[in-house]
Amino acid sequence: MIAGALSSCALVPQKDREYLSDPIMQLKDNAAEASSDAHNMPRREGSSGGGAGAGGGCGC
Amino acid sequence: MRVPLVWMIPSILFASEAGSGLSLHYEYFEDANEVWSHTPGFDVRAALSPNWTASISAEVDGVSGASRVNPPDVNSADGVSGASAKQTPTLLDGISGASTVEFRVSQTSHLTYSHNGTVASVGYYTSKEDDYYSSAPMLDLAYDLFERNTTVGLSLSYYDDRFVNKDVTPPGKDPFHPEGSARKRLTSGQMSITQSLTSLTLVSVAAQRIHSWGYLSKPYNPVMVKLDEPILEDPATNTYRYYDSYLETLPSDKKALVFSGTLVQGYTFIPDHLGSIRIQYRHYSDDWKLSSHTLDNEWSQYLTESLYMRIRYRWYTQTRAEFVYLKYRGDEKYMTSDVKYYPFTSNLIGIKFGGLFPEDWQENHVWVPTAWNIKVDYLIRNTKGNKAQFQYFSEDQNYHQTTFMTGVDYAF
Repeated sequence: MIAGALSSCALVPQKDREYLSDPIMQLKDNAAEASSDAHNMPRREGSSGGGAGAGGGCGC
Repeated sequence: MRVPLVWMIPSILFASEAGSGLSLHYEYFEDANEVWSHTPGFDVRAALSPNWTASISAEVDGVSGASRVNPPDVNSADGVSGASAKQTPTLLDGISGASTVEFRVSQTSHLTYSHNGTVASVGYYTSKEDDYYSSAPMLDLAYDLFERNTTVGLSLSYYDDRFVNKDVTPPGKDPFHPEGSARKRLTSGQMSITQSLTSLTLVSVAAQRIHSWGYLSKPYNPVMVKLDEPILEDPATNTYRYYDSYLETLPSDKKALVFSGTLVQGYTFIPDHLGSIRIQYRHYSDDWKLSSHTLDNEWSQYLTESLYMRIRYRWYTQTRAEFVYLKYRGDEKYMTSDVKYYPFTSNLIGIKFGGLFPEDWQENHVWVPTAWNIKVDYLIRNTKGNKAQFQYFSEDQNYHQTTFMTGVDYAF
């Protein structure tokens, strides 16, 4: 059902996808920023877990 | 607009093929409790063939533990100021009995296969510090559909962590006795769908299940329980004891569900200067009855052809775990004084600049990177007047933290 719904979306030709590859259009931060966030915020939040860096550090 | 391959970090969700490159970064963190860390790191990627890529990333943390409140001095009515190592910064750390600075080393290795929009990656993560070891195999799969407009992804990981007693707890309060260590394990499975809707619109939704079990407590979070009547401990000095201290005790099993969604919308109102808005929402809930909402927003704008700015605002709020109370009697099955299980809200604002170095610089000097970035994030936490957390950190009531980060990228 999801696949059917997605297939009905208008397709973006490869030649028009230049913007989608730009660094400011990414769904996720770069690896270093993602690691930094995993380091400094979730570990101090109750919803931590599941990401990289389950270990301690940062005064934990 | 030129887009270097090194910026297409191996984000498996987006199923893009990365070339060879090297990223270097440095991070500085400090908070209101005078905890600081210096974290240099690198990420090197090598394209072994058109289909195979190997990558290794590593970080070293130098972390201060000086602001942690010492093991509760039960002779002191003031468990915060009377015991905080902040007042005696030249002394050894009150908890570990060792240096006030500890080091943590972590590394992640990946081997990735990609072919026509199909990406499979296996990875292995390890980290090591004085009293904690972690290792995790990881598997990521992504598959592009509908002329690569849709990507479905699956990520699995299994963490096997171990607390090791390095005289970190007060005498007679070793939670690891007699084994000398305690194991904590965590499995995570996530499914995601990413869809490009237009040449400027990208959406993604994901569902994640996290299961952790074993020793989920920490030996560093003493729970102070006020005595009904002070106990005279030393008549000679007229010293009274006002509190008993207990080790943190948490359930040994936790199951959590996470649902998240991301929208990236670009715009080209300013000719040749792309801008974008990214909105991320995350909902977390677990069987400890703790739930949270996270809204992470970014606005990015190219200021010139090769320089962009990003403004970030992140809002986070959570409820309390069901076993959390402002005061304990001392006979409860589970007890904690860690602020991360109490209700609070936090706000983060950040700014980042990134850009490309001129190509002719790289032609003349091999050491000149292709790209650079620098950012600062500032977070404030509101504990809603909760008075319980003073038992752990001295500044949990007015907590704030600052993170500075900078990095450069090389493309080979």
